[in-house]
Amino acid sequence: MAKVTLKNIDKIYPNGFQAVYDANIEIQDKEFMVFVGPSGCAKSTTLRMVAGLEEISGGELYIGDKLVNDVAPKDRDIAMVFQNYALYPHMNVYDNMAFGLKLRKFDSSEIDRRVKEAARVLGIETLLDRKPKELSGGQRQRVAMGRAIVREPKVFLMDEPLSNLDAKLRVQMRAELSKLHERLQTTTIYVTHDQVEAMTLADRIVVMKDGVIQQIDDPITLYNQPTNMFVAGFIGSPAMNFLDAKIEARGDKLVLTGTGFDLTIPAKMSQAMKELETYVGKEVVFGIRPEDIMDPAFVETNENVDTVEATVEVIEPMGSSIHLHLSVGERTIVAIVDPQSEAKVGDVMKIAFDLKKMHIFDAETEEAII
Amino acid sequence: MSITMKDIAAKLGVSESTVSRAINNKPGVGEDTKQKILNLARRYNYQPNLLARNLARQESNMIGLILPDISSLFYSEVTRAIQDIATKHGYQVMVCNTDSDEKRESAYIEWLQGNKIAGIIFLGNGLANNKIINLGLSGYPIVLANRLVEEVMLPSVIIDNNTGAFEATKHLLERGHKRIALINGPKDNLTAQNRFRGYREALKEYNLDYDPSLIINKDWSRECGYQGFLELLNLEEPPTAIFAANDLIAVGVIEAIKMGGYLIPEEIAVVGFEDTIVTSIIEPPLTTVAQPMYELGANSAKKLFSLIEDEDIEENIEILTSKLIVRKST
Repeated sequence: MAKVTLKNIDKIYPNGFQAVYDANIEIQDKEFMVFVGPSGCAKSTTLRMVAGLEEISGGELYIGDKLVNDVAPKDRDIAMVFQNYALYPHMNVYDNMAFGLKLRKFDSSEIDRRVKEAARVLGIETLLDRKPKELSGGQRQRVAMGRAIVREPKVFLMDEPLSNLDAKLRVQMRAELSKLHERLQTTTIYVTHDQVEAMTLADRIVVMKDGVIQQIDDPITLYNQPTNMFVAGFIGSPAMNFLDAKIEARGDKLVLTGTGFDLTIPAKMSQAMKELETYVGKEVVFGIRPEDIMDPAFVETNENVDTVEATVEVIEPMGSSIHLHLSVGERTIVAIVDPQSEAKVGDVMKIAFDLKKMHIFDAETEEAII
Repeated sequence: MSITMKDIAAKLGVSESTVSRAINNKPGVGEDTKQKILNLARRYNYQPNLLARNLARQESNMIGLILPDISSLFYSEVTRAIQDIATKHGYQVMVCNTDSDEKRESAYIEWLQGNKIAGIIFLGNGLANNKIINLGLSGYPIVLANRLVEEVMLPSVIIDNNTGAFEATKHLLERGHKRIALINGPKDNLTAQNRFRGYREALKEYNLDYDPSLIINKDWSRECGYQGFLELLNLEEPPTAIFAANDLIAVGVIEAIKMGGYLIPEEIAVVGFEDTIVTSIIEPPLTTVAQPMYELGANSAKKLFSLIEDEDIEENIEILTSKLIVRKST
């Protein structure tokens, strides 16, 4: 096992296109690190540079303490798992896991030990004699994992390994991957475009956009303290609501004002007041997550809460909650409210914002202010 | 020297691009002019300069074939099939021998790509390395023929060795043999391991334990067949049948049997594997497992052209099975 360090890594293609800009990531030994971002953000390219599938244009890549920029991929001690794996239909499960070791001329007793150990960890010991066509989708995925496990690598690199599975199986395999990582404790880099997968699997997450790292943090910090509007909007579903606003000083109070709303920042939030004072008169973006917008009928305290008027456009009953699509001024926002809420389409209602949970971004740089 | 577009243009007093449009059946040329150009081209036997055309189109009508060594009978048969299919598609085959050297293979890949080769078939026994995986992931048309890959699904055509060995051994068992020896390739070779497995599975089906003293692992040569048989003769109870894991081993075995004055198949039966040309030269003609070599090449090439021509592939991984051909040695 080993840590993986990316220092000032760049990827520039021969045609001059720069895919990755100055990536600095330190993945700790045994850590489960997820690279997430929309398609084209270069998360897979970054992973492939670690694998040695792509050449590194600039910077240094270490696996453990060893600089591996010029080390051949096969000598990097890594194993890759892709979504599009191949199980050979004429080989049984045992051979499908063993053939790589056989071709690398491993001793047959060592191959046997590794295959049986991997099968035990994956719970497929009873399937070793079966052919792929006799397996379910989940079992097949486990065999593909087994093929990587038998290599006993220092690092697993996984590129969207679950994206071929149907939704139900994906959830199940996600849980299994978590358990597997608990057991094996192998450093893992996992690439996905699915933020739910990222949040549920990761020790830490690297959020990328257009080849630039936006933030590296644990899932909760990423959710509660996004460093910019991109991260705030990308992590969380339904996504964070954004409203254009301005900070105004009214007497000793600071007010966040925009089309259709005026929110007084509670005096108690002194730290926020301090940060926002320098933005008085300036354009900002007000961000609030759907679950931090409430139907006032179900709000127990007025502390740190302010209300605005909104029109109900769409109601989505989810069972445990209701998603309300509301128009505030010219913008539409989404709120997750109590399932008992009696809101109806067309209602003009007061909605409550939990300002303790609000986010304010610099409108120009899109960086978080609070 | 044949006529060029420039010559035709000069003779008819039109521009070279008008000649090009007429010859390539592109719009923008009046019917009369077009006919004049085509008539002249026919009369002077105009031949397009393929090199120049490919340069202009940034593509070539060539495919690459990367293999360990074309001098092996197996590989040359596969190559023949690939070339037959390529010719039908109007393509040439560039053959690259690597001697299983990864550095040479990498150099060939770069060279072929640099020369805008339309696609590559990788023929051989080893694992596909990262360079090949990366090519496949990038969407460049490649097909693996008998070559395995661990990480990703790449279009492949593979011969199932295991069932061939099973059939060969079963055939000897059906002929009443119980002491069947296997003269095989190196112990750490995957093909040899698969053939051993098929052998053992057939014995198991007949409730026979396998006797380790009847297994000889050497290499794939005629000499090893010869030596292997002499070793088996020293056993207290020598075998009555030999399964030779390839045809060359079988040739060596038959030579040794004849040297000892034994009769084939009355005293000792022999089965080979591969069905190369030697099986028809040797006396008695060899019962052998025919590997679908031609099919391996043809189907790999068909797959590659489907990829080049952007057509759907029916099976991403196609498994071909070997077939027992019974001749006079059993």
